[in-house]
Amino acid sequence: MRIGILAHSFSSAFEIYKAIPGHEVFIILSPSPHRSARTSYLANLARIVLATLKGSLQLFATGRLIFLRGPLHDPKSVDTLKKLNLDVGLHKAGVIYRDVTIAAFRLGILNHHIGILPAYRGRSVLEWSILQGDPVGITVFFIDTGIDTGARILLSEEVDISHCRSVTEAKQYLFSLDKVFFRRALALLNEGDQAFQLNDGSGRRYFVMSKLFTGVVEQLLR
Amino acid sequence: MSTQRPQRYAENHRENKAQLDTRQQIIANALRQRYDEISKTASQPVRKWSRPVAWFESRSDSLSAIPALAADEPVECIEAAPPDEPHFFDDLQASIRGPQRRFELLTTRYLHPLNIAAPSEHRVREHLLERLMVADRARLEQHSLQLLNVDDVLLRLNLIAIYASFTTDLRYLDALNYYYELLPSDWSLNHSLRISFLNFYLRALATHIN
Repeated sequence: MRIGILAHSFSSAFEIYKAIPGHEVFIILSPSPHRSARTSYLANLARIVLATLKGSLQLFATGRLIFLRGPLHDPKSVDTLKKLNLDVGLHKAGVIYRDVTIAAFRLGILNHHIGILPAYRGRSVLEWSILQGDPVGITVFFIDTGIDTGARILLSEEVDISHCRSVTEAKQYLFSLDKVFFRRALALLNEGDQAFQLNDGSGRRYFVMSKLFTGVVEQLLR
Repeated sequence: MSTQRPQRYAENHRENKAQLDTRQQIIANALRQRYDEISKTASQPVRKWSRPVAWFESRSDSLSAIPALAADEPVECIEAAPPDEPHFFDDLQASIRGPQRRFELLTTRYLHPLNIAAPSEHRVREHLLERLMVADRARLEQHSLQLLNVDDVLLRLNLIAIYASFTTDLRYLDALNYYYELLPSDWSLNHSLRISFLNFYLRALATHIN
């Protein structure tokens, strides 16, 4: 399959790139909405130089590193994406996608969500799951333009975080599993005929948690 | 085997119950601490509220009824059918960049503030919660307090705080936690809606502790 990793930062995209051999993988970098395009570009160049030292020359040699000048929904960016004929996108950019961007991928864009869908949508879902005594886990699903509302769930699993002693540690652990879950999700797609679980909107959308409840969650984790 | 299974089930059940009790105890302790903190500045609830089954029709106006409710005074009303305003929700959504318009829409609809807890108001509550916890929160966290319309934000916080006393959905209570932690303590200190917000918050905490 032809895969596009959509990211603002080269480092996070490169970690996934290394974990999914056997596909034609492109890293597509767009400017971070929190930085100017020039600062994003320079920051990524610095990361690339460092990564080059670690053996990423093949990425450059094969032209699989794409810099977008504008945001992902910009018509020029969308044109670039379409020309790449990508099957699947992997979401590592901190944005909400518009239809034009999603439609540039044959199957869609996959998201690695650190909560169990459809029950837990939105922010701080790890904390909310713990607070409410529900399982913690990861869901990989095809996004749409909403907040964790994409209907097609490819993979949803509980994850044991009993070794984690803080919210930060637990979050880092779940985020670090993105390459593992993306690899497994791509393997499922490669097999074909996979049945999707329905993200039917039956759950709730959660929001950033207060200090008071975060303190409760920290106690529960300990 | 046949005797071990029920035994293991019973052990698991006891373990789950113990975990549940511990979790609820930790949550209750945290809420109690916050209750004690706020009760120094807000009045403690005494009167029990009834949740509207359909709608409370009132001759009062929203901005008089809110402080009255917050002060534990009765607001006269009769049971009625929800108002027939098919465009209300669309108008509310359309007013996301018009705080003054939103304020008017909400004060007109919720003449009796307890109506925010009516079953028909689910979409409105979710919308208000989302606006407070996404767009407004982001503005506040970027220290742009002056960008917020004080009346509009406080009115919505009051409505959410009223509903938080009727629901086990902890997201509503946590929105109050969040804003209590986020708003500077001297912000709109003498605004009647700020005072009523604290009273409603205290009531919601009491409900969840019990």
